[in-house]
Amino acid sequence: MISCSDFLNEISNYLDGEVAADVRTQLEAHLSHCQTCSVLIDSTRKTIRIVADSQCFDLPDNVLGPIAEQIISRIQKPGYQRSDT
Amino acid sequence: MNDEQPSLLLCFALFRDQFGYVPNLFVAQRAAPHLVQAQADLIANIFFAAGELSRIQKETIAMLFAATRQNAYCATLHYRNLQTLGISQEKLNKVLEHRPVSGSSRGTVLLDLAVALAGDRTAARACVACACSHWTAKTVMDAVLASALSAFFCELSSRISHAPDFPLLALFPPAYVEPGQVDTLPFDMSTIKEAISRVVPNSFTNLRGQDDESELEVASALAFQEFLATAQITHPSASVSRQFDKDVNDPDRDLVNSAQNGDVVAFSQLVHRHGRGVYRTLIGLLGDSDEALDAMQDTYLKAFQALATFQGRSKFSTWLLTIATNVGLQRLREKHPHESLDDTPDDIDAFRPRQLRAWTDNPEEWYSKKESRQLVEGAVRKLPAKYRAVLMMRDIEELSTEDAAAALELSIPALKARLLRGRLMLRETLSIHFGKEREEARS
Repeated sequence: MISCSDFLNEISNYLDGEVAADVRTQLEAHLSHCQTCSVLIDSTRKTIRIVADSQCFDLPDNVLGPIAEQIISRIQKPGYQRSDT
Repeated sequence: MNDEQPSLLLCFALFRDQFGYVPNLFVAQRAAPHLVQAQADLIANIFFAAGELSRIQKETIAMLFAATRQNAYCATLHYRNLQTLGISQEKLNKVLEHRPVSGSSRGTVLLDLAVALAGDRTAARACVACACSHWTAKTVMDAVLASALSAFFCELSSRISHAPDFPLLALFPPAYVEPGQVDTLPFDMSTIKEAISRVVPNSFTNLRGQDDESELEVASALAFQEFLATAQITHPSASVSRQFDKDVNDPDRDLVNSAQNGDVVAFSQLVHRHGRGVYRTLIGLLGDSDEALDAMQDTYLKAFQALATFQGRSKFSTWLLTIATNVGLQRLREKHPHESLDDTPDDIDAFRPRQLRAWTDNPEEWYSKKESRQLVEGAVRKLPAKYRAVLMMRDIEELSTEDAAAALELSIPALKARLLRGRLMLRETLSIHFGKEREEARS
């Protein structure tokens, strides 16, 4: 019989499909009667989904463009050498 | 001895390294030398190349596919490989017993997909759609390609029908999946084209163009294409196979070659192509936009200086992210020594769940895209660097556990522990915005 604390430690592996079959069976047995852990796993699953879909920290073209230009101009400066040259 | 012999020997050396000493297979394979090169290339480009899924995940999918097809030789071959890669017999036996059930979780839906691709085509299309609701399209593509490779091996193996080189597994009867109704699939064409151009080598696409093409070669090549078609994917060889260059497993290869020869315009294109991923990796480490942009410049300058050392053993994008990680880690140590990524003891209370109210059923619909992005960015910035860096790599850049652990120089258990804590802390912050009581208050 596993505890809520054991369950907590395995949530991430469970959601990533990285637990052994016997552990998985025990976790699912625990889930079937523990409302708290059911809420926890549902909200963690949704957290992962929201984060993946959020397109967070995207770099707009009007920022990327000038940064790329700065990089190229530094590379082209006299004296800037590649390690093989 | 014709001029193909040396490359054939190299291919057999690769098979021996991967599958052990399998003399009967080698003898049988000599009947179809063009296929030997194609197999070696496909193994290298699908199983070995860095992708969304790990080698173990891809080979597990291939094993289950072969088992569902009742091809004991191929299933056993993958089973033995996976044992060599450290997977226990108990775990492998469980995978072989896998049967799809309704309401699959993220962890099992790719196994369902392998079973479906090996069996019922209608169910396979539904499974592809279902898998795309849990994983990115690129990840699902990797699973489809691993299945396609397995289909190719199964076809080949059943046609050359040589004596087995090892005792075969006893397989259970195939599983069946309930067909589902799907009209369109959530792949976009650019993802598909990128994935195929990444993995399908010239030696394979040219198979059908050989003057002395045999029935075996054509049938095996078709088996691969047929399974890409299962997921409604058009194989480019039908129209553009002759346009492929030497080696297409890295979409950046040509640009990198040009940049290595001093072409600054090509390097500029690489900056534009990968700038966003580099920036996100650095934000994950440093947490501050200005610092991340500054570190991004350092990253590309270092990459340009080291270009001559890049030999294409990994994808250019992976190589670049490793440089970005090193730049970010160095800055973190210099400028923010308190934000250590080292394995300092954790305050267990910091990630103990406190918000235990149920979430709304469709949290994505609750805020606009812009609001959601702002909520996530705010919550991610609040995380300590050691959790933020891992979470960005795994859940936003979607690197595999192995690649993220290697880039951050962490053991896999340490990476997983940090991912768990990062996710729990993020869940805690977002719970305030997605709890059911907010839904009730709004309605």
